[in-house]
Amino acid sequence: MKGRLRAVFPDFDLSSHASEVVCVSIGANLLLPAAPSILSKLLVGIDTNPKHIVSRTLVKNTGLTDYVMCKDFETIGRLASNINSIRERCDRMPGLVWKTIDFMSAFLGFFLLWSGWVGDPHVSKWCGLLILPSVFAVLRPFVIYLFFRLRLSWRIMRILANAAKRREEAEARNTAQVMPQALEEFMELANSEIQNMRSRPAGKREKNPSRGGHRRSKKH
Amino acid sequence: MEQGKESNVDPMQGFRLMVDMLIEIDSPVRVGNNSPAHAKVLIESMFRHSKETAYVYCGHLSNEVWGDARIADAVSKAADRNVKIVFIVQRPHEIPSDSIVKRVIDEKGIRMEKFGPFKNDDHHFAVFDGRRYRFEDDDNAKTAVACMNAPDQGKNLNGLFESMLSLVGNERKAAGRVP
Repeated sequence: MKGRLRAVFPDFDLSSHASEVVCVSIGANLLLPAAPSILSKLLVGIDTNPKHIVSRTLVKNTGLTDYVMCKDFETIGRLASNINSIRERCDRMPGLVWKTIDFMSAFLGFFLLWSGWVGDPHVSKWCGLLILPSVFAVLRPFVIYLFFRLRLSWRIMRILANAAKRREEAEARNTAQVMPQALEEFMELANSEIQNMRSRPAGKREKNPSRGGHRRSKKH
Repeated sequence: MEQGKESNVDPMQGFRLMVDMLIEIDSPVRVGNNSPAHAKVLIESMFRHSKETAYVYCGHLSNEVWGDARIADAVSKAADRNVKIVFIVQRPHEIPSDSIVKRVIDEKGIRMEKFGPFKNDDHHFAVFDGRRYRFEDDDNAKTAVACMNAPDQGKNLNGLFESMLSLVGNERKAAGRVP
């Protein structure tokens, strides 16, 4: 799970998940530099490992025109309030309609219980099954709470899984494992040029611009 | 709101903090930098954290990047720490007369050589301790990539720099022999 959680930052489109992104803990003694646009939407990422925080932020901000520093505890506070608001919204979902249905089904269930199963022997016992709505009415808040919690968890898991994938892609692009193409080409050409210079007798090097020679156009 | 507070933070201060953190944790993440201001921060931080070697291959120590008191101070302190510092400059005659880094180089007796540019493909670079580097994509725009922990690429650049130095040495010897 931790591996997934640490994936939330890089290249992650927070705007499409404005109230959904959630994550985790943070190294308490670190400052977290991040772009304001992220922070304004952030519900928040964060990790116990400082390396992850820096990498994520850096990947996100490689273009670097704007930075912000924010103490991690502030960010965590914002995260906490966002999580609470999601939870509250879930709890409010049923509304008046559900309350009415609860009341009606409970009333009907108890009436049938009294009149059908326990009371009049001419009424089929199966009518007693109609008590089920009242059972549901009692259990409904728990069921709904569980349903929304599960749905929320599932969403979070999905977001984190996507983020993990994006992180891997971003890291592959940005870490030193991949040599910049310009550097690779330069190394190759410069080394071969040096070999050529070495193979020539000392003091007979070809002229270059700093010594009055001609310089070919740059590749990059 | 907090947003207002955030916008007051100096962007370069954030960048500096980040670069320092990257050096501290030896991060292999590559940093793009797209302005002389970024270049200054990177070079200064790399000098400040250098322990053994600091090799710089540049055009003419232009003041746009090198005319920064903090860089001069970092170079001076690195020299005091006995870091082996060598500058290879393509056009020493174009070094600005008021260059503060040049002054430090002279004062501290730091080695400075003339070499290049390469004919086919020329880029400036700086490599520190054989694992941190800054490599310029475009000399005019001062855009570059940098990495605080890339032993392979650092080693390659170090090797290249030392080859350049040995060539310069050979030339000097040859020049000494042939009047």
